[in-house]
Amino acid sequence: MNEKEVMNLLNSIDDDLVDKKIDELMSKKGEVINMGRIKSRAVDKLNEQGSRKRKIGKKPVIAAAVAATLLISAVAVNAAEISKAIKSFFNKSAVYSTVVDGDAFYLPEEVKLNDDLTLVNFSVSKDRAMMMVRSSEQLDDKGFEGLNIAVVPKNDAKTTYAVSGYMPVDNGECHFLLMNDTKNDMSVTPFKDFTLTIAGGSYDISLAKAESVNVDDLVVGKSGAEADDSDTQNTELIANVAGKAEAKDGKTNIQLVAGFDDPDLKLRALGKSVLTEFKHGFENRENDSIGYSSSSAVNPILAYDADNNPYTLEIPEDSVGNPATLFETDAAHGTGLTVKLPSISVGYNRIIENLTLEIPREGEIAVNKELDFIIQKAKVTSVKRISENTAVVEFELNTGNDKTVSIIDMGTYSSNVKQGDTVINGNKATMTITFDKDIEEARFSFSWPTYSIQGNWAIELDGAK
Amino acid sequence: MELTDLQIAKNIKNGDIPTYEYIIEKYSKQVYYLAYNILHISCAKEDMEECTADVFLEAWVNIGRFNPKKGSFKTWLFMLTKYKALEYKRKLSKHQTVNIDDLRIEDTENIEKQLISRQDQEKVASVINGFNDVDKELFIRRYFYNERINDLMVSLNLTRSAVDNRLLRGRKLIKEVFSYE
Repeated sequence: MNEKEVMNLLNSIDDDLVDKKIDELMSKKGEVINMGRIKSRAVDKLNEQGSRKRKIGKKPVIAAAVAATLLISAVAVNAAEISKAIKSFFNKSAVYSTVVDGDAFYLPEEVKLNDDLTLVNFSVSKDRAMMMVRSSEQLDDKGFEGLNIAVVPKNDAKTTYAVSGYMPVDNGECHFLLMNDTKNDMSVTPFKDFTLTIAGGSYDISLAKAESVNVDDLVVGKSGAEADDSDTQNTELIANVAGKAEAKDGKTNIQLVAGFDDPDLKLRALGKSVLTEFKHGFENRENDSIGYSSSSAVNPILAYDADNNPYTLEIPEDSVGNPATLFETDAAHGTGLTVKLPSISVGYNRIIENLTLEIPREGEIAVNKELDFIIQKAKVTSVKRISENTAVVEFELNTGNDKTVSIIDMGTYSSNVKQGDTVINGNKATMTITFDKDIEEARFSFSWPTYSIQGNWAIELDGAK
Repeated sequence: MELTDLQIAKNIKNGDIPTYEYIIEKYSKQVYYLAYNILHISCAKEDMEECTADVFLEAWVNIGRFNPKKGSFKTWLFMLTKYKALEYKRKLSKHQTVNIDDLRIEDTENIEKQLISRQDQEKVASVINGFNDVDKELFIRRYFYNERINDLMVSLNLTRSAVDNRLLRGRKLIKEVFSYE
């Protein structure tokens, strides 16, 4: 057997077998490969490349809304007693693989619109309407924009919903986020039947009502489950997490639900972010604006059985809707599991703060202005002119009393600044802005911010019934 | 769900982040191990992790240069790894002379992936498992990563004949599994 034959042979072995060999070899050397850190750095480097710019379209004021929503991502209270925690889980609906507030309607099966286009999914709930379309042609960005989508509810013919942002995925499919074109904002009133106009055609679509989440089925998580987490243990959290186990194909599926004291607070993702540094930016171009945010990728959520064996909560391949709250595990049906959820990310879906900043002609000025991010506080500390067209704004974040809440995306936007790029690392944020050289003040809005809430929750689920 | 090389290339060209994360999860270990073998003497662990992360970014940025007709995506990734690791080695060895031979990358194209049953793959893995530690490492680095004999001699502190004999012994054992001529 010659060398080439052996090379061909070894390169034909499945990667998991090769990985095992590598593990063994590294273990002999006393080395452990930190896959999590490598992935985190690789994702970070990609973000630095600015590769996650997404088209926002012609409505720049809601750039942060689109960026926050379209980013997709990849866990004890006495149940008999109605508590504040349980109340936060009232009035929610399970739609596809996520949970939303209030009533919701969704498309139960794909609808083939014509030879080229298929409506893959559609869901609508309060202030949230999303859809996915598949085209048999390989559409590019312009192609998807050219579909000229409009949605008019049958019970409200005066309101039109149009596309506020979109994100193509593979197989000729594209996610669309809808906005209220009549009011020029993101307000949505749920509807069951509507007329869809797309690519010049008009179609009547009827949705199904989503099932309400039954609070009686939920097990509320206990926070501060990590022994060294005094911050969480000594704080009354503004977020609650609950879960329930469901049987599917002999395995245990887990539905997680988040509830908040503030009904305006929305869940962005379950789990701890893989990143420790977060980037957000915007750019005002001639005809539109674009925005980007750091990956919302999170570390896997784990659950443990009575023998402390770990099971990963996996997002199903056919998952629809975000954030994903329905997970699969390899645990056999009937296995009691404790889900460990270190943190979640949440946000508000609106503008929450405004700021006008003087831009010095030269040098640096101290500012010391407090910003109210509702569940957390921040402070603008200084503005420094670094060139004719650029300046750096420094922020101190998380200056409020609640140490379990960290701002990870301020959702900064400005209509009179060309471009802004913000980096958040821990309690510091630095924003670099580019503008016309004659600018004297920059006007900012902070909209659709994102926060991380560290709860270190443990949700103890009995075996799925 | 497994992605083919063509799907990986197409998705990355379309800016598909989940595919980027997919290749990281799938190939991190193998890329890291290759980078480790080139860098572990002169670099800290953080540098090797950084190098590994840089390889995936390189794959993203330069995906247009991947030609599926010339070889597998994995092989192309290993090529990028070697270049990137040597770049790191050069940067960190500013005041040392780097062997010009290090700068030559052996042609790893034209490696043919065969369809081998899982059972046979496990047989091969089991045979390799039976090797002693040095032979195991030697075999994988030579035949999976196509590392040069000279590099392996230096890295494992073996003479040329020792390397040749060990590899020959390994090939014979594999041959017995498949009854190759």
